[in-house]
Amino acid sequence: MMTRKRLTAARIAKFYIFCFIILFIATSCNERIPAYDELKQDAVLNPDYTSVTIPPNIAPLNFVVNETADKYLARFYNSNGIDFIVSSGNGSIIIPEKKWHRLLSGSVSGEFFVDIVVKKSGKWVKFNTITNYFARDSIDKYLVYRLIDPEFETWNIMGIYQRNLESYKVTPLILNRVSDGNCVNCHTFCKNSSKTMMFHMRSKHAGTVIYRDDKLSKINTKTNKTIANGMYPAWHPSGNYIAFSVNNIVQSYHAIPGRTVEVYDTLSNIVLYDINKNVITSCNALSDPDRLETFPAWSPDGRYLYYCCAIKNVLKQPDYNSFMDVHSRIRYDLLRIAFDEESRSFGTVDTVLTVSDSVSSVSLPRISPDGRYILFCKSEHGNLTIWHPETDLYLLDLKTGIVSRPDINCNKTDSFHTWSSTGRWIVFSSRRDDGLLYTRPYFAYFDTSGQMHKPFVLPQKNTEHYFKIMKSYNLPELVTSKVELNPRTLAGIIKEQATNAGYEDF
Amino acid sequence: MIRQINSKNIRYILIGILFVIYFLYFALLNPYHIHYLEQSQLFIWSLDFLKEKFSLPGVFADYSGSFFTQLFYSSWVGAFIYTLNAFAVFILSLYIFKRHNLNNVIISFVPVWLLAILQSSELFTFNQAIGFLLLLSFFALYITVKKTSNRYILFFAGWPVLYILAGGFSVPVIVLCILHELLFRKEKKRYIITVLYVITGVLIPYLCARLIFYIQPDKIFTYPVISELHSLFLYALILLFAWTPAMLLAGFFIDKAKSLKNRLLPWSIINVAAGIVIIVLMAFVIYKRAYNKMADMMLGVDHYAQRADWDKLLKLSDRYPGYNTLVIYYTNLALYKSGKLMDRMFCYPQISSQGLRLKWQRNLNLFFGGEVFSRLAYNNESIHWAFEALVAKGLNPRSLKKLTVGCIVNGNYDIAQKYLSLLNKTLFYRKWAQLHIRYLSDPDLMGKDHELSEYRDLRVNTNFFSAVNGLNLQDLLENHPENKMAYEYLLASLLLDRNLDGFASTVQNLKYYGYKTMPLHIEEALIFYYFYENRNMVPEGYSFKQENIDRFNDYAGAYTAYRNDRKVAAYELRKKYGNTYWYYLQFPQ
Repeated sequence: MMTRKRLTAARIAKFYIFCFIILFIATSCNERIPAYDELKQDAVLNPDYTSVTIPPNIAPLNFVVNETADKYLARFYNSNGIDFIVSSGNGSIIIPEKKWHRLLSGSVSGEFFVDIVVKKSGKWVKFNTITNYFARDSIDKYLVYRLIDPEFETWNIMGIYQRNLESYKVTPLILNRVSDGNCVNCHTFCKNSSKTMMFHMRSKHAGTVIYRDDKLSKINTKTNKTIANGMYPAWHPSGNYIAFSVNNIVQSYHAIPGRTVEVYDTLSNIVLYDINKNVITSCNALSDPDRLETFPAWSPDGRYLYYCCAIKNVLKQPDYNSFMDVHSRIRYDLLRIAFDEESRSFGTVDTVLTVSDSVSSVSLPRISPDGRYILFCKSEHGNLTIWHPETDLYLLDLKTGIVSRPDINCNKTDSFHTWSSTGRWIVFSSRRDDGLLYTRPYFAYFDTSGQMHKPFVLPQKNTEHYFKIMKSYNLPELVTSKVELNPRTLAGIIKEQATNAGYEDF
Repeated sequence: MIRQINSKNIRYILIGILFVIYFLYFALLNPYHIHYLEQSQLFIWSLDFLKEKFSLPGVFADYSGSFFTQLFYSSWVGAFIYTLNAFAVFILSLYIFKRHNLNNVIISFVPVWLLAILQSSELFTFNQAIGFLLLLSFFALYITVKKTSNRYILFFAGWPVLYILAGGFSVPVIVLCILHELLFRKEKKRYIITVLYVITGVLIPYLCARLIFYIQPDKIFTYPVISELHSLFLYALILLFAWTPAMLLAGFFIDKAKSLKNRLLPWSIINVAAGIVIIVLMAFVIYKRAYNKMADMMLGVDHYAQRADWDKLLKLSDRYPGYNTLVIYYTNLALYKSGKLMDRMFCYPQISSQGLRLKWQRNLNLFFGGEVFSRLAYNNESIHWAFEALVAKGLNPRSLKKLTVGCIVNGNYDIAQKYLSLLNKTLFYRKWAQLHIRYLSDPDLMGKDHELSEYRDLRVNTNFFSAVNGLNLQDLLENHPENKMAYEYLLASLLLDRNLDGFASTVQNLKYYGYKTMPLHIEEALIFYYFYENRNMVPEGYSFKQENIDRFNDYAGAYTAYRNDRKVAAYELRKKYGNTYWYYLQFPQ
């Protein structure tokens, strides 16, 4: 039995331990920036999250400070008194999520600041303050993308995933290991809605899976009147039609450094799939035997189908020695054709943009939700421009007719892009990080005056993610809410026999 | 009275001899299979690598299988690991069967024999062997537990864990546990327990597939058990799984027939003699049906190509009987690298210019076919093949090294860094990775690397598209006329395709490539050309040797003598002239 003396001593000891713990926690939480010298130079961050404009609902932009130092401090603050510090021993700055969201939501002026202070040889030095901006416009909550090996020809493990942009949570939509290793591709949504989507499967269990009205169906889009299965898709805004290109694709491989794959069509047309009637149709303008029509994209009101079109007769020279020269002359212009939804008929064709008379080619047109702008890829020739280092994103203002090259481009491939549901954000695929193979999704703010702001890469929890991952982010699509599909719910439809689509003459 | 062999030492010696033979079978007769398995996968010392394994059932089998396979870098270590695993299987089998009234070495050795058959196939990875070992280990633990309630708890708590660790290898454990309970235990609850075991065996994989793993429904109960085997190997796999349950049943019935038990199981001289006969038969089956000498030689040729040991490659190729595109392809490469292509290529089987490269096909060709492009300094195509092999096979050291070299040569240091960071986390490729990492931070060091310097000097600068089934040799020479391998391969392709006109024209540049004398096959071809076209296309500075002219005259004379019967001509001329270009030219295979 303890004596009174011992009991008192035990209580005192407990009290001191308690105080020590409280003190420790308090001092840990209130890390302060020590006295430093100003370096008067910019810190190099990886990814580059400097002077970027971000949405208010984005997950924390974790980064690495690319400087050799003993200790790193990153101070995040805004003009409204939100102020916190993140410390690191290796340069990797992992921002606490709650503090981050408070930083963004608590900022009235639309900007926040980052001070990077590092300890080198016993002295603290500070880099120039980084100013980042955030827009009032939120970004669509989910990003859907495919993770693939940067494809030459062979594939193995791939899947389509959705990432919650407000956190780091990623869930798979479809993994090809549940579909006998086939190829899943071309996931597309109608007006950024998670309720209406489709994707293709090639090789085993081939077919086009359509998700609409909470139902799944699987269609074989190849008919005896069309040259191939449906490929590049575009949902009509009504959700009743999908325009597909049908392509006969050939792939070649370059020999010089800096170039890898060349993909081109020997045949391509555009067809229209009527989902309700399960029929495919087309028209003469979209299946001209002397032309290559591809990359359909609908106007937001559904009254026009935009597409890319090239003259085909350059290919009538199958001489091997000049083949490289021949294919480099395949250049696409941007056209559009009127469409009447009620009668399901096409009308006249207009030329929207002619570039083929110069050393240029248009691909992947995407019309903004307000119908005013077209964002497209421009390259020297060809169509699968993710493999062209010179490919850049261009903006056509349909109101003024002006074509501009936004500052979001770099000197490496910038390609496949989509608009957010509000038209204030775009996501695009860029190979600016390594210049050649691995594609990353970048976001850029498009403000109401028609200006694009500096892009930033999809943030990751692990700052080494993009260095480690051996896959490319392919076909990034912004979606407003979570797609209620996963590999288990899709398992049934995958193995089903595809229903053949019929063909109706125009 | 039957004489017993009671000495335990003799038993241990006999068992020991068996495993020494097991070890030697793999070390001496299958070393290249072992090397190939090591080359086909990569074990990375990182948490991310371990986390990836948790995405499907069979975590431990997969992870530890990969761990041990990295040690197959040495085929002797690999053979030793195979033997250790086999010994563990044997001990566990012996223990299990002894507990079920079957104390017999031969019966316990059958799973080892079946493993030896299976491991003779390069498709049967070590992960599979680990999976089977886990199966036996769990069951051995199960039967060790004396208290019934503890045994049941072990199953209900342990089997789900086993499923996660071993995947489909855990399913036969249910059968074994049920047999054990029904036949060898007298518990009243054993029938209910049997039903509960079955329910567990169905429910747990189902729940795992619904809640944890994304796995194809038809693979829930089998993954990662290999299914792509055929004929003998498939039967061996089925028997491997069926053997233990079958022996449990046998143990149950043999216990009823005491006289049979007393006759079959003891170490009598007759039984030992019978056992030896059975072992010899087992060895015979392995040697005749499972052991694939040609496959091992083929993999050996590949192994020596990777090690750039051209002399050993050629020695192995000398012994390879018949035509094999992979062997021919590597032989030609080795001949060039050892400076003998134009002197000795027709001493080996040839199949036209298709023997200079492998066809582009989505099979093992992807893994082997990039070598020639790498050596030709056709860098982009080397990267192309290496990348496709990486995608098709998964991470493997060979593809990563090829990609690293390719990216460094092309100046894509960021991508090279990516691949090097993976190799830097391996046991045997770390040094290579660190050397190349130094090159990235100090490119001047690359000048001291002979391979990198050569490839950089020969980098393509005028673009062209890769030929579907060719080597783009003309294009490579247009870019760099000094590319000697491209030149020799071009000459070889013209000879192999019997295009003497093209050959005669191309050979005029011979002196630019440092040949002091005309190589033998070039001379043979030009002699033939002179004889039939009456055109002297000998390059400037060279001349025919009289001995070769005399040989040709002999050949022509013999050919004329047999010309009325081509079959006889082919047979007779082959004896003396089978290794000449003349014979190849006139008698296509």
